[in-house]
Amino acid sequence: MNTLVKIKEYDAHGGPSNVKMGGDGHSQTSTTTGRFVIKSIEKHVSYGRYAMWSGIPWGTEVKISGGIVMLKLSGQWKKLTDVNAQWGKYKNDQKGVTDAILKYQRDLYPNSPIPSKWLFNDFGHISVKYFKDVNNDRKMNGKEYIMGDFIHTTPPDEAATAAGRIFQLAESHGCIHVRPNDIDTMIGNGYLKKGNTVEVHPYTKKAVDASHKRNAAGTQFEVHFYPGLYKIAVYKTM
Amino acid sequence: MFFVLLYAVSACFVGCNGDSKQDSRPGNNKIAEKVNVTDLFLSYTDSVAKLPLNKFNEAGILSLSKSFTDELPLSIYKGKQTNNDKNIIVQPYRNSDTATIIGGIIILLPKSITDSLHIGDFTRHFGDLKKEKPMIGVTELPRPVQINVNANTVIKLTFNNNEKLALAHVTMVEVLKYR
Repeated sequence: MNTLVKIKEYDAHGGPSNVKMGGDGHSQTSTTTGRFVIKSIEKHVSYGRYAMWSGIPWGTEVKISGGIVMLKLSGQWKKLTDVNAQWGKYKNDQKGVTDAILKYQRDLYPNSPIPSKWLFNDFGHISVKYFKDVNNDRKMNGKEYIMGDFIHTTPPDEAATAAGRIFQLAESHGCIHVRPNDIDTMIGNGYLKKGNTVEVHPYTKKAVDASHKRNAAGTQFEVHFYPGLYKIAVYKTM
Repeated sequence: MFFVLLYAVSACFVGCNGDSKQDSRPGNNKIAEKVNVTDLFLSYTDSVAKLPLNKFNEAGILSLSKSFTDELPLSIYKGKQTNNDKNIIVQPYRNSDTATIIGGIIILLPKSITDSLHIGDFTRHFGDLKKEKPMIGVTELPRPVQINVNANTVIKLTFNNNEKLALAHVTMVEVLKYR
């Protein structure tokens, strides 16, 4: 066992403590508790229910040419409505698509009403994905899989950060929402790194622990989320 | 200020009508507290929305907020977002000259107030939500809703997802001034 000592603390917001139905007809679940191993840190691309706005990687180049929204993917400009099946449903309504993109851009970035980059992916500029390491070999294998709860930011929080405006982290569908600057710091400082541990504590926890006794598995840092306290804390192995 | 006075007057009558013992039950106190904080906050938002454009800035919001600081835990943003679990944090800003929105005042709510403040409270006070064309596709977070206060002023409400919009808890209020 190793002694882990808290060195940093950041704001974070998970899912609700009890399952509830959202206005979009999708249920919001609590963030799954337990210890997990980080599998990857990447721009998330969604193929499921969020495949429209989140089916395109954050930061993809965008232009509006002849009233048609175009994206630069793999070096080639493509119509947005040719990118995936979800957008493809609107291929006969290019004006409707362009209006929707312009409106979302204007809502998020009133000072830059014409989009040049795709800043609408629900999972922000970077996502941290982790898995439950059932056989404790620190590798994702067998029936292990990436949890649906990622650590990520959101488009409104990214926009507010870019504009220097205050914002409140929103309740998620189970993921862990953090501030854009904080996720960059946690990644940059090696707190969030492939192979490191993420621990999600129960919602009933009343205080952020100053230290823990854990098997650190040779890692220097662990990140612990306290969903009932809206905090994520970094622990260093002593 | 009307709501502050109304509350003070009604509190006086409650204290004098012999029902005070009954009203001291925890459940009733909770209701009174909810009415108080919700109405006070709506009254504050109303005053922010009524700020004239020449006072829609840090000096203007500071001056206005002073008259509410005894009743609401108001804190003007000073470069670092702290104590947002206890305080209402307020930040005025101006957009570029080309933006259609001249500027805004953001009001972040602590969880204790969010828990008793619903979209329905705002529509009852300020009127119906602005009707917008439904957005293409689904986003993880619900898009904010807006209420037109007058031709140049809009209240934008950010809220936690809820099956019934009127019951959704409001987390952030933004008063926007349009050109």
